[in-house]
Amino acid sequence: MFERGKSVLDKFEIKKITEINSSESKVSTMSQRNSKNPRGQAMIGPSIVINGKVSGDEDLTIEGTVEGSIDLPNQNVLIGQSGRVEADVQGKIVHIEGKIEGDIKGVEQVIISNSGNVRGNLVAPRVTLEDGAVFKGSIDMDPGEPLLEKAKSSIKDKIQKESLEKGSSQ
Amino acid sequence: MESSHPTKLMDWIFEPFSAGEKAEVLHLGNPFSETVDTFTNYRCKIHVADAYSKLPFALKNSNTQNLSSDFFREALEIPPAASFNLCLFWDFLNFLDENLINSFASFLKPYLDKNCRAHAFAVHNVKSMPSQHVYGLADLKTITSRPRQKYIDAPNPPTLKMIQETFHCFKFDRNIMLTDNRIEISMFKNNN
Repeated sequence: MFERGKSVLDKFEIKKITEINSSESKVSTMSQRNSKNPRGQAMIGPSIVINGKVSGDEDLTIEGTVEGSIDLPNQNVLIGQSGRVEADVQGKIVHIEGKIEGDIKGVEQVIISNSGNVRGNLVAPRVTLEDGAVFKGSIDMDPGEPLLEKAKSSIKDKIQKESLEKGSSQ
Repeated sequence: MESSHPTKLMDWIFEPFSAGEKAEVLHLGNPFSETVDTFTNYRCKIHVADAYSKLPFALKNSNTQNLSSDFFREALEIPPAASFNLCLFWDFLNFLDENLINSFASFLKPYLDKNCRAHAFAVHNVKSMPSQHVYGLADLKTITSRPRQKYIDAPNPPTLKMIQETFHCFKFDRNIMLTDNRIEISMFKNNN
């Protein structure tokens, strides 16, 4: 699954692999969130367990279990309702519907849905915590220069891509 | 049922942060979505402490001083380097007895910035039961509330006078009587 695009999984251990595409609805949710990403999305299915570092160049949906770290500062990360993560996570927009224990950095935003259960510290310029979400930790919305710069350049890239796409379609 | 009421105290409490200072916030209980949204307008770090869920156990055992300290350490999980300059206690103090309020003040004092400001609710008198609501901040003029999901028993809510005498880490700035047997309080750090 991670050989698609340029994803890299270091030191990983896949304990059990079954049908990966069993949750198409989640993929489509992610597609709606970032429909203009040319590289598509990667998906860690509900029965998959990964120990190690996850990095790459695709949006990622996690419905399985990840222990270690997830480092996707330029991509969106969705931890779905059945997702269980014990890892520090970095993403552009990190959306949590499942359970996570670890620190989370969102270059643009962190969203914790009402089904989300988070124990850890959040750093992002913008955080949304839906009512019903369980959260224990701290929320830092003054992320300092490095994350702000990343956020700015990410928005800049987005605008450039959109104007290029508009130009090519005309 | 969700409700909201106006507040006149938050403008003063947030004054330093409206001027650009970074807020290091102690928030007791899970914050509402609108509270987090309100804080996105400020440079801030919010420490969310799940203090309410362990209250019933503490209330049963509050006569033991050591237990009180352990309770606050475990319930609040405050990072050692924390230096809060804004505390939102909401109605937490209403559920504590004299002994626990005193322990809470002693526990909290090392983690308070010298310019810390705070907000809390008290009750009109000992016969008033604390409201079974959870509170949030829609903006600096509006406090929201929703019913608490789990009832917390508080047979003897402390009076305002008792809080003033035992919550020694703060001095009281203003009190505003509310219609539903509550008093809204703004406080600042007692540096004596």
